Amino acid sequence: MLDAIVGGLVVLLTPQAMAFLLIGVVYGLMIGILPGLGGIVALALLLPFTYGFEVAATLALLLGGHIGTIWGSSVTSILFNVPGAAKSLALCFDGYPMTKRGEATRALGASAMGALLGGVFGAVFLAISIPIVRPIMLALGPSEYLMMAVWGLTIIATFSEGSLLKGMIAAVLGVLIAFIGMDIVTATPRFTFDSEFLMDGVSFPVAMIGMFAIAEMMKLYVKGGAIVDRSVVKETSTVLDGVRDAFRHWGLVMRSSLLGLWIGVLPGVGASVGGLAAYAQAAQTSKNPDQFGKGNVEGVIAPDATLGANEGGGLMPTLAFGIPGGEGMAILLVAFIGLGIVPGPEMLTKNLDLVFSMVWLVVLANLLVTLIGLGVAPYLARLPTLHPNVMVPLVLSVCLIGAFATRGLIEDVIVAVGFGILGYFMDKYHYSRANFVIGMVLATMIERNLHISLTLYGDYFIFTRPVTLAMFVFIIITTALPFIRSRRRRRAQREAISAQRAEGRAT
Amino acid sequence: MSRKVQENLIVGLIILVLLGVIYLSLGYGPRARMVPIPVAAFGLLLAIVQLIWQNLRATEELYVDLLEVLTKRGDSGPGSGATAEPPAAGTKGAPPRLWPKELAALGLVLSFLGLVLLIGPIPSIFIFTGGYFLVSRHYSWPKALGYTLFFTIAVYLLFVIALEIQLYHGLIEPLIDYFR
Amino acid sequence: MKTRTKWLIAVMAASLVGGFAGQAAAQKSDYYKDKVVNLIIAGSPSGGHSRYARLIAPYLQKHLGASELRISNMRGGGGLKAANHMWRVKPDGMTVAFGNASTLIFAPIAGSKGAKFIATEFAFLGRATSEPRMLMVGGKSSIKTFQDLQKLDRPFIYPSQGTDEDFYTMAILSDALGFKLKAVTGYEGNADTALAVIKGDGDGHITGWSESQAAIKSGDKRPILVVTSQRIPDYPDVPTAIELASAGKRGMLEAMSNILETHRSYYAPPKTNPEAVAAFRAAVDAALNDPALLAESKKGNRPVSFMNGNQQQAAIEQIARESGGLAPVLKAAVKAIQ
Repeated sequence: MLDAIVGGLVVLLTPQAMAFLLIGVVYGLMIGILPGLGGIVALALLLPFTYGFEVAATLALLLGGHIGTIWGSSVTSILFNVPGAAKSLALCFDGYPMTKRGEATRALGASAMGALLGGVFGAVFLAISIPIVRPIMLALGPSEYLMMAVWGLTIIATFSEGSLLKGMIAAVLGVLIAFIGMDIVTATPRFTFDSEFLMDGVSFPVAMIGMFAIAEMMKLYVKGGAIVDRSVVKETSTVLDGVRDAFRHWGLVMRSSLLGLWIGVLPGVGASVGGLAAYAQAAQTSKNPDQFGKGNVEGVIAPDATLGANEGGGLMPTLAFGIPGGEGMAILLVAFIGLGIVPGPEMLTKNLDLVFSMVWLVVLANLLVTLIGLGVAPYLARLPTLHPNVMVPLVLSVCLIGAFATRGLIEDVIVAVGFGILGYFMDKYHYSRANFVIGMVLATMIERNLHISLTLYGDYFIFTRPVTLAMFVFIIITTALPFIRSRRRRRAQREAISAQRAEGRAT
Repeated sequence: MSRKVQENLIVGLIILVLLGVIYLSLGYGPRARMVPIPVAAFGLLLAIVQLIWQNLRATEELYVDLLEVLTKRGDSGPGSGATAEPPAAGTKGAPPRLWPKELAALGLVLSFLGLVLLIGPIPSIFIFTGGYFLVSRHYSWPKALGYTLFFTIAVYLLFVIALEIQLYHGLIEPLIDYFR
Repeated sequence: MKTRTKWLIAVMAASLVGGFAGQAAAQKSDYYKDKVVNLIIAGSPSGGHSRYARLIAPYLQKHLGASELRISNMRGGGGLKAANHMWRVKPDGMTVAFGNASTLIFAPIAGSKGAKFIATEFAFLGRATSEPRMLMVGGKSSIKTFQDLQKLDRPFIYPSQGTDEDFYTMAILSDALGFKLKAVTGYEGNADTALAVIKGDGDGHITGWSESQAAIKSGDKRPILVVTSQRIPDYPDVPTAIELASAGKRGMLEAMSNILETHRSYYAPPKTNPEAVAAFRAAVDAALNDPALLAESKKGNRPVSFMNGNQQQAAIEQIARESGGLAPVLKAAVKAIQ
C-alpha cells in the first residue's frame, strides 16, 4: 500500500496537473461564493473541458473545482448568513453570529483550517480503512440512514435561537414544506395545488436564499446600519486566531472528520445531513453547549472538518462500486468513465495508486483552498461592513438572479422572495429559521427511509435490527445529556446561592 | 397592535396552515399521508399550547418559553443558551415606528420581484441598483450610474457568459412580439 | 473484450443501415443556418441524457449549420417536466428537447398526473441511442436464473426509485411472466437501488447495460433477463422476456420492448414547422453517422444506435396504438404503492 501512496502522489507532480488544480480551485471558490450555485454546476461546466488532457490533470481540475465550491459556500454562510449550498447550512448557525460580533476573520480562518484538517484526517482515515469500506457499506441500510437523519433532527432540541416551543413549531413547518411536490414513495403529488412547478417541490437552495439572505437584507433595511458596524464593533480577530482555534479543538476535528468520512462513504446520506450531524455532535460533546448558536467557534470548525473529510469518503462508493455518493460524484463518475477509469473492486486492489492520486488531490486541493482562504479572509471580512445603501441592492440582485440560476426557472425567484418575507417574520417573532431549514433538509430523508425500512424489515424494525437499535439508544442518550448536564449545573448553582445566602444571614 | 396581538395572529395563521395540511392530506393514500398527518397534528398541538401559553403570561414574559419552564433550562441566568434575548425596546410590544420601514422593505423586495418578472433579471438589476443608489443619495448620480453599470456588467458576464445561464426575458417579451 | 467489440460493431452496423435509410429521405436545408437553437435536456447535468446530448452536440451543430446550440438542463418529474414544457413551446423548431421517449409513452398510459401532453403529437426527430435494459439480481442472491425467480414462494422484492420506466417495466414483467412482485419505493436513484440489490435488501432491479457493466464483471450483480426484442451478444445466455412469455402475453411484452427501444431521442413540440422537422431529422442523421462522432463514442465507451426520425415517428404511433392493453397493469402497480 505504501508504494501506492507514494506512486499516487508522484503522478500528480507535473506542472500541468498542478496548474489545473489551481485553476479548478480558484474557479470552484468563485462558483461556491455565488448563492444557489454549488459543486454540481461547477462540475457540469468543467466537464466539457476535460477531454484530451492527461488523466492526472483532468482529475486535478475536477476535484479542485469540486473542493473549491465547498469552502466558497462556507464563506457566504459565515459573512452574510447565506448558505451557498445545502451542506454549508450549519455554518450559518455560529459563523454569522461571529461575524456580527466582529470576529469574521477568525471564523473564516477557523473554517478554512477546519476544512484542511478535515481533508487531511479524512484522507488518513480513508487510507487506513480501505479494507473495511466495503463490508461497512454493505452492513448499513435504510433503517440506519433513518437513525442518522433523526440524529440530525435532534439539534432542534439543542438549538438555542428563540424559544424551544416555537422552534419546534418552526421545524414542523419546515418538514411540511419539504413534502410539497411529487412524493416518490407513492407517486402522489402532495400540496401542489395542480401546479406543475410545485410538482418538483421547493428547491432547497432557493428557499435558503430567501429565508436567510433576502430576509437579512430586509432586516438590514428596516434596522439601518451595516451588518457589522465598525464604529461599534471593531474587528478584533486575526486569521491566526482561527487557525489556532482549529488546532486547539483537535479532538473535535478528529471526530468530525471521521463522521464526515463515513457519511461520504454511505450513499444515500447526503453531505447536507453531514454538516448538520457534525453540528449536533459538536454541540453534544462540547464543554459549553450553551454557547452554540451564539458564535461558538466549535460550531464553525466541526461542519467544515466534516465537509472536508466528506469528499474523500464520497470517492469510495464511486470507485469501489461505481455507485456515486452524491450528484457531484455522479458527474465525476462520468468523467472517470470518459478517462477510461472503470470503477469496481479492482480499484481498491490493482489500481490503488489511482485511488491514492485522488485522495492526494483532495488533500492538495484542500491545502490550496486553505492557503487562498487564509490569504483573502481579511479582505472578505470587510464585506459585511459595507454601507447598507450599497449592500442591500447588490446582495438582493445577486440573490434574485442566483435563485433563478439554480434551476433556470422564473418561479423560483417568486419562491425566494416569498421565503424572504416568511424568514423576516419568523426572525421577528423568534420562530427559529435554522430549525425550519433543518426540518426541511431532513424531512424527505426520514420519510423515505422510514417507508423503506417498514416495507423491508417490518413494523418493529427498530428492535429487530441491532445496529439501528444501538443508534437509537445512542441518539436518546446524546440528546438527553445536555439537559441532564444543565440540570446538574443548575442544582450546583442553586446550592451555591443558598449557601451564599446562608452565609449572608450568618454574618 | 400590541406585541401580544401580533403573536396571537401569527400562531393563528400557523394553526390555519396546519389544519389545511391535515385537510389536504386526508385526500391522499394511506402511505402518502402516513408522515404528514402526524407531523401536522404534532405541530397543531404545539401551536395550541403556545397560543394558550402566551395569553396566560404577561407581555414582559412572552420571551420565556413553556418548555423551558418545564425543563427549567432557562434558569441559568442571562447568556444561557435557552432564553431568547428580551425585547430590545421596552416591554410594551414592538417599537411603534418600525412598521412603516417594514412596509417599505416589503415594497422594495416586491417591486424588485415585479421588475424581474416584467422585464427580466439583468435590466431589473440595472434599474433597481441604480434607482436604489440614487434614491438613497448614497452616491452622486454619475458615480451611481458608473457603479451600477459596472455591477450589472459583472453580473451579466458571470451568470450569462461564464455560467451559460439562459435568462428569462420577462412578461413583456411576448407583448412586444404581439405588437410587432 | 471480444464480445464487446462485436457488440460495438453490431451497433455501428445498425446505425449505418439506419443512416442510409434516413439519408435517402433527407434533403439539404438551410432552415437552421446561422440560427441559435436551444436544446433542452430532460434530465440532470449528471445524467445519461446529458452525457449523450453533450457528446453529440458539436456534431449536431455542425450539421444543422446553426450558429449556436444552447444546451440547458430541465430536470424534474423523471423527464415529464421537460415534456410538459415542450408541449407549450413555440413550434418554430428553434427549441428541441433531448430525453427519454419511452417516458413520454409510458406516463400517460399509467395515468400519471404529471403528464400533460399526448405523446404521439410530438415531432420525433431521431433516436441517438437505445440501451438494452436488463433485470439484475444481486451476486449473492439465491436467485441465479429467471427460472429460480419464477419458483420463488414469496414476492420478488424490487427496490425502486419511484414510478419510472423501470418500475413500469417491472410491473409488466410480473404480470406477463407470472411472478409476484413487491415494489419498495423511496430509494433515491439508481445508486441507491443498486446498493440495496448488492447487499441483498432487495432481490433485483432493472438498469441499463452500461450502468451495471462494472458490477456484473466483479460479480456483484447478475443479469437474468433482458428486455429487448433480441438477446444481446454480450450475454448470449440471458433470455429475453418475450422468449419466456406464453403466447397470450407475448404481444404485451413486444409492445413494452418497443416502447423501451425508443429511448434517448430528440423531439420537438406538436405542429412544428415541417421544414424545421425535416432539416433537424437530416442533421441528426448526419451527425450520428459522422465518423468522428462514432470514433469518439467508441473511445468514450458510449455506444450510439441511431434511428431515423421518420421511422421513429411511425414506430411511436404504432406503439401507442398497440399498448392500450398495458394501462390496467400499470395503473394497478401504481395503486399498489399508494
